[in-house]
Amino acid sequence: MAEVRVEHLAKDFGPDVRAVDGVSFTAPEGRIVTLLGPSGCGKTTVLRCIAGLETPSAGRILIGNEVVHDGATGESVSVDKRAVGMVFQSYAIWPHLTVFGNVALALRFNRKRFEDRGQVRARVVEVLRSVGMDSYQDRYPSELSGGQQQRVVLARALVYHPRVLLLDEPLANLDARLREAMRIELRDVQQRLGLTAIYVTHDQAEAMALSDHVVVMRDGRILRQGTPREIFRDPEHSFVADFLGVSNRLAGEIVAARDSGRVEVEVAGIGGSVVAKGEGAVHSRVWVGVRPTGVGLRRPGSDGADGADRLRGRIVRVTFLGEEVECLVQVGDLTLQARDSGAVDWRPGEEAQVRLAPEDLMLLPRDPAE
Amino acid sequence: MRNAITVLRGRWRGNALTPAALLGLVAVGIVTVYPMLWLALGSVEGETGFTLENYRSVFRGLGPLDAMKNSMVFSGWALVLGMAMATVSALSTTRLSTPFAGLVRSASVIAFVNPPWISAMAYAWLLSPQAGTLNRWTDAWFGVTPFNAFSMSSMVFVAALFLYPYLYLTLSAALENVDSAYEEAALIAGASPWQMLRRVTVPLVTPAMITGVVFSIVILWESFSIPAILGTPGRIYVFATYLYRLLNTPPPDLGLSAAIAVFFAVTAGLAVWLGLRLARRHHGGRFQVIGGKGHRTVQIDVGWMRYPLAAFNLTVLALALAVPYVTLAVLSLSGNIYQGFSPSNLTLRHYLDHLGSPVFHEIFWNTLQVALVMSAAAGLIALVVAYLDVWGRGPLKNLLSFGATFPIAVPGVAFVVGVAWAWLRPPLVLYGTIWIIVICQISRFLPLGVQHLRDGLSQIRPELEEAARTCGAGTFSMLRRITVPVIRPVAVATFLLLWMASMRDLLTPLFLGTGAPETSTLSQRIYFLWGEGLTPQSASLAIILVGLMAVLYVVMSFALDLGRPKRRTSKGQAPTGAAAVGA
Repeated sequence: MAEVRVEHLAKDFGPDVRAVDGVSFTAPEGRIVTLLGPSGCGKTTVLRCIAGLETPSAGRILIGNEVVHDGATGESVSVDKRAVGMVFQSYAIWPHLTVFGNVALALRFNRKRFEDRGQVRARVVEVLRSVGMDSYQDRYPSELSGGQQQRVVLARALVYHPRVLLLDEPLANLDARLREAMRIELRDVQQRLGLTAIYVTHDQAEAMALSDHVVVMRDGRILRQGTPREIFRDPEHSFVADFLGVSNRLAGEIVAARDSGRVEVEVAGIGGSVVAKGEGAVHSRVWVGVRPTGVGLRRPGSDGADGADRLRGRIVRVTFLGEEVECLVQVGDLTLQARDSGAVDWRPGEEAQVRLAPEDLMLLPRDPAE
Repeated sequence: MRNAITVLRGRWRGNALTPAALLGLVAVGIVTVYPMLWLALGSVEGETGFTLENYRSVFRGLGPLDAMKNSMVFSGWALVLGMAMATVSALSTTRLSTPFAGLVRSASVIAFVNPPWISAMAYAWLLSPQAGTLNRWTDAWFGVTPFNAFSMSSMVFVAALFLYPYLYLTLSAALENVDSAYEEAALIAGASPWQMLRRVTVPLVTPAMITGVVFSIVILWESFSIPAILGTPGRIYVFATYLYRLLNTPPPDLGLSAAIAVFFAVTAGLAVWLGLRLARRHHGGRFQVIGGKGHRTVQIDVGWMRYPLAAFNLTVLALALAVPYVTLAVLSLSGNIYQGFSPSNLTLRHYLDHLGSPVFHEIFWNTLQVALVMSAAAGLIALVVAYLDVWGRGPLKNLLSFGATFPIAVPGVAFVVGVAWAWLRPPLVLYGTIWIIVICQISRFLPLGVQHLRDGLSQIRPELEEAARTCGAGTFSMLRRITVPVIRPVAVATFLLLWMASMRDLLTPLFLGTGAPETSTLSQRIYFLWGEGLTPQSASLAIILVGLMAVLYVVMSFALDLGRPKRRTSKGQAPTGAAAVGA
């Protein structure tokens, strides 16, 4: 396994379409890096450039110490010589071969790098065992379930000891329950084998659960990268915040700086101000973002002396989700989305006290035009 | 009968469809099964009842055995050559980044509808042993005359060119349908492009390849015009031409010809059955290649090799299309065909002669009439069959679609002999009229129509109809408001396809016509003139026919499409629209 470095990568499709623009990140050895973003953001193109399936328009890609693509010199290692493994969204298990045949063929393609020709069978069985598929060797792909196919592709991608594993939305075709199980399993295999992996997804929960490092992309550019925790707590960018479930965004203006990295923000429409974590110049216009789980609801009159801002609101709509209840609550002129534990049986039209704790409120930059 | 209706009611949704299904069953039975029954009967009918004498004669005489041997040599080599050319072209245009891929594709589509006798006539002229144009050139330059049009090798050459577009289109469609991820996965796993082609790409298109080979064998096994034009002058007979000679040498031995036809049909059926079994056994039929999302295909850079590849593709298409048409055009415009091409030798005389001749007029209208009636009738039956096959349920629909599609495995000549047997006698004597040609073409081209419509209809989701139902539409309103408008484009395309097939068909009018103008069509007339040695007359008529096909195709597809947004049409509307154009 090796480190992967992507430097100033750009990819144009035709003269007018720049699919990837100035993308740089590093996938350290033995870690999973996730490229996260909505469809069309260029994440898959980046992955295909690393694999060698697309030729970048500019930039440099290194796997280990080898430069596999250099935009400055135009030198490029062809896809079959890059020694990477890839898991496709459609799996692409060769349908004319059995499970064993698929994995063995991938190994045979690498005869030049692996001299142990007689040990093909042993190696294939070993890899199939490591993903729990050794008892399905003689099955054809169409006789396997989605999760089993997933494991076969993984085995096929790992059998020849690739330097890096590339995964293109590998769980997108599975149902929700299986997806969660496979997520854990993938992470397990990756850590057990110490794989360097680059993982592409549009599912933020998947990215959070799997990654050591997350790269959020939009329109071919990187907006934010960091560990899952950093990004989740501090999206820094209103699009990233939105993508990571910060569905309430209040327009406001900083009126005063408080101590310990907090500011007081006057929010239009609620007739008051809130205290949020973050720093900014007084009088600058900002967004205040808050997740539905950060909007606390209480029955009026019940007192919580924790110093949080309390606003008056009225419940507009209640949606029962099972473990939680989602409420739309009207505060002044604004409507906020709130998640509540379900302990209180909220009814539309009821008065509620809305609690916005400073640690749940994040400052996000706001374009002057917005 | 009452029972059958009850069964149908139970199996097919919608009572209004039941009469259509029954009518379809009856129509299919009459046009396809009835002639086959008579053919089988005729082959064992002796003067005093049942006899196997005819079958014994098949194996006793040298003629039939020789014809069988020739048929096998001819089909085998033409298949190998055609397949080799088509494979190179399909791989190069879909995978090897060869220039002119678009041109190759569209030219192949044109070559696909090109009548085979056009090429056979042109090469008979170009490669003729003594006077052939090519032989005269090589004689002038090198003093040799190496070409012989009337040989097995030239038959194989022209047949391979005829087969090429079909195999090319089948293969390239299969190659384009392969999800590129299969091949990318191989490359990423370290396969060289060549390894990828051999270990992944080719195995994935193998089922399509086997199907293509099976139908190629049937096409070659039944092919008539190429061996008739290129083989008969050199006394090389294949099954089809042998049968033709047998029926045209007085007194015709009907019993023997029926027996040969049955033998012919059974061997072809066997080949299809074996081939399709093989295709299914291949990897156990476990996979169906799922098409990719986009139209992305893996492109392999072959460097300078792409120029020879492109040159190869263009050469093959030139040989299949440009050379024959230029040759026939030159011939049709030549005052004296032996004088070669020069301005003083150009004349429109042959065209004007045709246009001024009452025989031509009669034959011209015959051709249009046959094509129109037959494509309307076959289209309608095919529509019922395909509709029930795709959206119906139950065992009867399998019977219906088998009855409508089995003629594809019956060699045309054998089928035509059966038709002659069936309609020569009461209750319905059609022999000697133009209607026997119509009826025979319906049954021969019905499989084509059913297949085309079935492919088209299976793209349409049944939810469309169910949605109409849940919105409160009755069967009739559903058909009128939803089904017909949705089906219309594919129905129009099928109608045009059948029309073209009818216009270019030589076998049916040749075997079933009496030779008199009132039972002749243009293709039969062209063959007749050619056989009489009236080369420029024949060539000019061929050009007229092909021109007519092209013009009618354009006009009809325009006319049939024109009313689409404005009019709500019923099922019979498409043929009516064409009648206005045809009349």
